[in-house]
Amino acid sequence: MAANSRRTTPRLAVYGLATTLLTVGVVASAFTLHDHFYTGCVLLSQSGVAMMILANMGLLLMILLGKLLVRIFLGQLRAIEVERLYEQGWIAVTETCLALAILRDEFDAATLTLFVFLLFCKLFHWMLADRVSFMEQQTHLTALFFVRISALSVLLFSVDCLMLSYAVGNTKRYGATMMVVFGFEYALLLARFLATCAKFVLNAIELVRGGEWEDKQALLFYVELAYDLARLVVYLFFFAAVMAYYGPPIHILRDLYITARSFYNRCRDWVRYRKAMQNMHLRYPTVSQDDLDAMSDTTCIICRDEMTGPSQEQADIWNNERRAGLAQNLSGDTPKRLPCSHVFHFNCLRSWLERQQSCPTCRHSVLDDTAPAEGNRDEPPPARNELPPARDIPQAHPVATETEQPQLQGPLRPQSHALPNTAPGSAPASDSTSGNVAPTAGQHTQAPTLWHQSTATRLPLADEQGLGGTGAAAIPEMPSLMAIFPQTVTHGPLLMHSLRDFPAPDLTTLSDEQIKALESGSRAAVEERIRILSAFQVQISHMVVALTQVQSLSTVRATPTTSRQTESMLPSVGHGGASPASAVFDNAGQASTEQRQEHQAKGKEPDI
Amino acid sequence: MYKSGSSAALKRLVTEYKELSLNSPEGITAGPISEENFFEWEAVISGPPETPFEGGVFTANLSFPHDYPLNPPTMKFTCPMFHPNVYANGVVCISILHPPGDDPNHYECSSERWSPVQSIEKILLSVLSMIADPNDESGANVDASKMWRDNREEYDKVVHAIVRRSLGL
Repeated sequence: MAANSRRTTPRLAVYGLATTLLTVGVVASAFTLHDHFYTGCVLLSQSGVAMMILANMGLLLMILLGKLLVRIFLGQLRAIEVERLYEQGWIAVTETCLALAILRDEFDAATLTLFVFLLFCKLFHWMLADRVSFMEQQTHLTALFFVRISALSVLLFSVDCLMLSYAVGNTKRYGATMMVVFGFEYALLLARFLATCAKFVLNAIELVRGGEWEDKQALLFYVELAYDLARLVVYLFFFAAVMAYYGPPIHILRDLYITARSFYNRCRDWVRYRKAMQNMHLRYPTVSQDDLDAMSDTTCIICRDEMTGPSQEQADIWNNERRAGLAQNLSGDTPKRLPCSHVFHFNCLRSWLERQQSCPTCRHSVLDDTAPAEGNRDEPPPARNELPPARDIPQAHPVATETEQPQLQGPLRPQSHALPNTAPGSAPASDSTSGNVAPTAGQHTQAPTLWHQSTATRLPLADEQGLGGTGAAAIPEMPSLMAIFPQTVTHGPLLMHSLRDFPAPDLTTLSDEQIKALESGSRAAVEERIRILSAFQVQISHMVVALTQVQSLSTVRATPTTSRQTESMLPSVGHGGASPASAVFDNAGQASTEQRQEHQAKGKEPDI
Repeated sequence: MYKSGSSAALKRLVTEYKELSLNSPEGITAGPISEENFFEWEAVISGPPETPFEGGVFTANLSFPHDYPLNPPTMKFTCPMFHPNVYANGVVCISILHPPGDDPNHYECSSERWSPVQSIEKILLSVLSMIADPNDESGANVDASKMWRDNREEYDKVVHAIVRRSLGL
C-alpha cells in the first residue's frame, strides 16, 4: 500500500500542477484582455475551453478535499479498502453514464456537478461501511476511532438529509425534473447510512460488553433485512418514477436486481435460520455421559473443549420432555446431537447455527431431516438414548457389562471406532466373541432402525462382530492387530469376508416373466423392487462401514491431523453417498481402498 | 484504549496454541506474537522440499476475529512472497480462509470454505500444500499465476530470489 500511495502521489501532483497552471493562465488571460471584472467573467463563462479548464480545477479541488476528509476522518486507508473503492467507483461511474443518457434532455453543467457530488458522497458512505465492518475484526480500538467515525457519520447524515430535502423541495416547486433521480439516490444513501450506523452501534455495544453478546448476530441480521427491504422499496418507487417520466431506467436495473436477489436470499436465510433456531432445545436430542464415553472424541469441535453430558437417566428425562415438546432450561454446555449424529455444546452449536444452518463437521444441512434415507440413519442414536426400555437391554450400557457392546456400536456409530476406553480392556475379549454368532436381544432392537425390515434380521452377526472387533482394535499399534484378530486377518480380505456372508440379490436368476412382472406398476412389484433396492442399500452401507473401519485402522499410524480429518469425514462416509458431502465420501472411499489393499498385503504376511 | 475479546475465542486459541506447541507439524511453527494479545499470531513456514521454495523461511501474521472459530482468521505474509495464490501485499487467498457460506462469485462451493472443524494447524498445512502446488485457476497474484503457467523457469528464478531474501542473504 505504501508503494501504491507513493506511485499515486506524483501523478496527482503533476495533475494538480498542470490544472492549477492552466486555470491561472486562463483566468489571467481573461482579466488582462478585459479590464472589467464582469466582462472577464462573461468571457470565461462563454468560452468552452475555459469552462472545461475551470471544471477540471473544480475536480482537482474535490479530489483534494476528499483526500483531506479521508485523512481527517479515516486516516490511512487499508489496501483492501482502496481496492473496493476503485471497484465500486467504476461501477458507479458506468451507472452514472447510463443515467446521464436517460437525462440527456436536461444535461448541463449543473447535472454533471450534482452527479460528481453524488459520487463523492457515495465514496464516503462506502468507506464508512468498510470501516464499520472492519470493527468486527478488531479487538483493540482507540477512542479516536469512535470520535472519527461518529463525526463522519454526523457529516454524512446531514449531507444526505440536506440533499434529500433539497431534491424534495425542488420537485415540489418545479414538478418532476432530474432532481427526482437525485432524490432517490440520496434516499438510498440515507438508507445505507442508517444501516451502517445501526451496525456501528451494535459493534460498539459488543466491544463495550467485551466481545460477548449472543444476540448481536441476530440483530445484525435484522438490520440487514430491514436495509434490503428499504432499498427494495425505494428502488421500486425509483423505477416507477423514472419509468413514468423518462423511460426505462437502465442505470438502476443492475442494482434493482442485486437488491431483489439479496432480499430474497435474506428472506430464505431468515426462514432457515428461524427453522434451525426455533426450539433448539426441542429439536436436537441431548446426549448422555454414557453415550459420550462411547465416542472416540468427546471434544466439541467448535470450542475444542471436552463435553460432559448428563447421566443416562437425566438425558432420558430431558429427551422425553423434548419429544413431548416441553420447554427446557438447559445449560449452555449440554451436549446436543444433530441429525447427522455429530455432537456439540448447545451454546457452540447455537452460535454456529446463527451463521450457517449446517453441521460444522460434515456440512450436512441441519434442516432436511425429512429425507427418508437420512431419517433412517438418524434414528439409531436417538432411539438408543430416548427410549427408556432400551436401557433395560444390556446394549444401552456400553461400558457397563458386556465387552462386545462397544464394538457393536463401532459399525453403527461412526464416531466410536477409535474408542479409547474399550481398546485396551476389551480387545482380547473381542477375540473370543468374534466367533459368536448368536444374536443378542439388544442387537435386534438396534438393527432394525438402521436397516430395512426383513433384511435387518438377515444381517449376519458374525460380520458385526468382525467389524466391530477391528474397530475396537483401532487404538493399539498395527502389529498387535494380528495377534488379537488372527481369525479376521487370516480370513484374508476383510471386506470380501463380510460380503460373502451377505450376498446381493442375484437378478440374473430371474426369468423373463418375473422381470416383466417386476416392471409392472402393481403394489407387489413395487414392494419387491423396494425390497431389492433396500437389499442393495444394506450391502452398500455394509461396505461403507467396512471401509470406514479399515480406514480407522490405517489412521492409527498417520499423523494426528490426518486422523482428525478422517474422523471428521467419517460421518458422511458412514452414512453413504446420499449425503451432500459425497465428494468427501468418494475421496475417503478411494483412500480407504488404497489403505485396504495395504492392509490386505499386511494381513497376508502371516500366511506366507 | 478499549479492550475486548470473546472468551470463547480466547479459550480456543489457547487450546490450539497448547496443541501446536506440544506437537507442531514439520515445517511449521506458530504462536501469539505477544502473550498479551492472543488474537495476533505469527507463523513461520519453511519452504516445502522439492519445490522452488525449498530452503526458504517465510514469516506470516495471522489475525483472528473475536468470534474466531466461527469465522476464519486472515493470513498475511510479512516477508516478500511471489506466489499465484498470495496477493502482492502478502494476503493469502485460499478457500478455507474464506468465511462460511456460499461464495457470492460462485467460484467455490460452501464445503470448501471455513468451518470450526478447521484449525490453525490445518490452515498452515493447507498453506504449505498451497505453496507446493499453486492453484492457478483463481489467482490472487495475476503476474505470478501467468508466470507459473507460461514461464516456469522464470517463476523458479523469481522464487529463488525470494528464498534468498527470506534468509537474509
